[in-house]
Amino acid sequence: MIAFSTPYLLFPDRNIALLQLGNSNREHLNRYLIKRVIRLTWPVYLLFAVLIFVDLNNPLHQFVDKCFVFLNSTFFLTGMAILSLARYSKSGFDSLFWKESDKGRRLRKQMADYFKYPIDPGSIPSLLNTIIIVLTGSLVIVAGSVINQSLGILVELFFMALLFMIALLYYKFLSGQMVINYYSTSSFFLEFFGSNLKGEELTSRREVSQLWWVPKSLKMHIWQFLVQLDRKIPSGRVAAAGHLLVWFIAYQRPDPEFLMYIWLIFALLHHFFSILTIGEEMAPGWLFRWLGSSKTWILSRFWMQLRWVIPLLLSMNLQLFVFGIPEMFTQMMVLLVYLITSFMVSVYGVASLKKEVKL
Amino acid sequence: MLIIKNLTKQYKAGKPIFSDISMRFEQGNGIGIIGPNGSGKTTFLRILSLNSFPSAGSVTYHGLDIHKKPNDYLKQVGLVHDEESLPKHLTASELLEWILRTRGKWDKNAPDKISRIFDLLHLGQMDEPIGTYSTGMKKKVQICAAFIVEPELFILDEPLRGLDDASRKTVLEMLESAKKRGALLLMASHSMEKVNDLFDEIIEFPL
Repeated sequence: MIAFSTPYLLFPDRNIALLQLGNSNREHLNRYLIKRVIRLTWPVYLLFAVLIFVDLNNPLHQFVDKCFVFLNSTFFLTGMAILSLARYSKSGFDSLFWKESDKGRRLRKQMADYFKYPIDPGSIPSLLNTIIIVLTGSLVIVAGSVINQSLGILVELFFMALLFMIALLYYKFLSGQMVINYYSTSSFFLEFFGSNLKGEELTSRREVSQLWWVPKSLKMHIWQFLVQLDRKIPSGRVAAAGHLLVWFIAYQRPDPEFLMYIWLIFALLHHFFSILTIGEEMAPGWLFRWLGSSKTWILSRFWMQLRWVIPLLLSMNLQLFVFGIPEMFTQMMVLLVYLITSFMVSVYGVASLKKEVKL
Repeated sequence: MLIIKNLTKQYKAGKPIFSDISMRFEQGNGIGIIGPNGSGKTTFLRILSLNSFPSAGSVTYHGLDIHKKPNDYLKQVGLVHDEESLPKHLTASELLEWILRTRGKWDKNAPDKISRIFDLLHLGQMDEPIGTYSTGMKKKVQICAAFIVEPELFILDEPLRGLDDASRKTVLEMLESAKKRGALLLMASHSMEKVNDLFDEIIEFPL
């Protein structure tokens, strides 16, 4: 979640004009960015505190252990947030290089030729950052788990504190260039997210033929939804970040019932992508009524959401293998709820399309 | 042939926008719809484009009740809507590709067809997202979307609004040529200046 969300939450910065007017120096920008990260992450710390400490029957039961677990989580989250901030805030120059250079143009063409999937070369540094942060986070979780089981929670706490210190030193090392890094990164993301979009930045797209999993009659409709969604939000990365968060929660060894609710909530959150395709921005009513029937749009949105079923099942089964939960019954229930609600969201989409018709 | 029988539309009881109108339009004709703001032109066209339903009466096209068989009817229609709302995150060429695929008209010549129609209207930015377009450019995309499927019936609400002179001229030529191949045109406009030659009949609102 941190790996994915950092650039989306911090850049482009809507306060950039004010910071430019104030001609903020390095220290001020560092403080400003750290404060922004704290403002964005405090609810997660609160969630951890609630998850770990709230026990109405016996609030002081294993209190010291709970404190260690909370400190572990806090060091881990803060360390990863700082690492993510450091990596993304320096990515502007590299991103602009890949976006504008001949090397980037060649890469874009090669990707389009060989993989039939042109990508925006400017997004490569962000993609690498996501991978690096996800891998670091995953390795730290696995290593922390191994240390906890073999050497105990206190050593795990030192390990997480070490991660926090390394992230802090890395940020300190890069903060000397903060002013120039901040402006170049903001400028890149401003262009990347389309605020001053011109040229070919957003022409990358998937092809209709790539949708092998869609029936022929729905292919072009799902294709246009996915092309639009790709440009609005990188849904694959959002979903992957969500899976990691669920894994992080599972790693805290919660009650099986609690984990079931987490999986249910996570499955339902996937419908956010479907809901995005319902508004006027992506689905103007007159155009959709012109091009398809109610049945077409219900089936299209429903089928589009089926693409998340395999990742959901794989992730739940892997978790069952690693942690022993969620059980098969729970998995089937999550799947059933997911499919039913997916259908309901699709019906809602058509209902809102009909609402516009003046009777 | 489009037949309107005893058509009434009212949003509030006792206050009809128009009532009991009956008309008949043949293929290959141009019908101009004029009148001041709020006179009911757009409501009339919204009924014909199924964005609104009649309070009473019926509309049939080639014997098909358009409000009972909407999809069969809309397959034969090209629309230019009164608002320039289009999917923001698609490019203009992707929008046309989607439309052609939906209508079963996508083949190896389709990309050239798309380029040609955009060239006609001087829309050079066809590979940029529609969200970055100006109002006039969106109107051009709507016009291209209506023409690309070569429909038998055009329902056009102020299609020339927001266009530059050169594009207006091109659109009028496109409409003239569609009429010649037998399409029926229904077009609303505030002003009939420069477009009179296109029309065989003019309906003046309020009716």
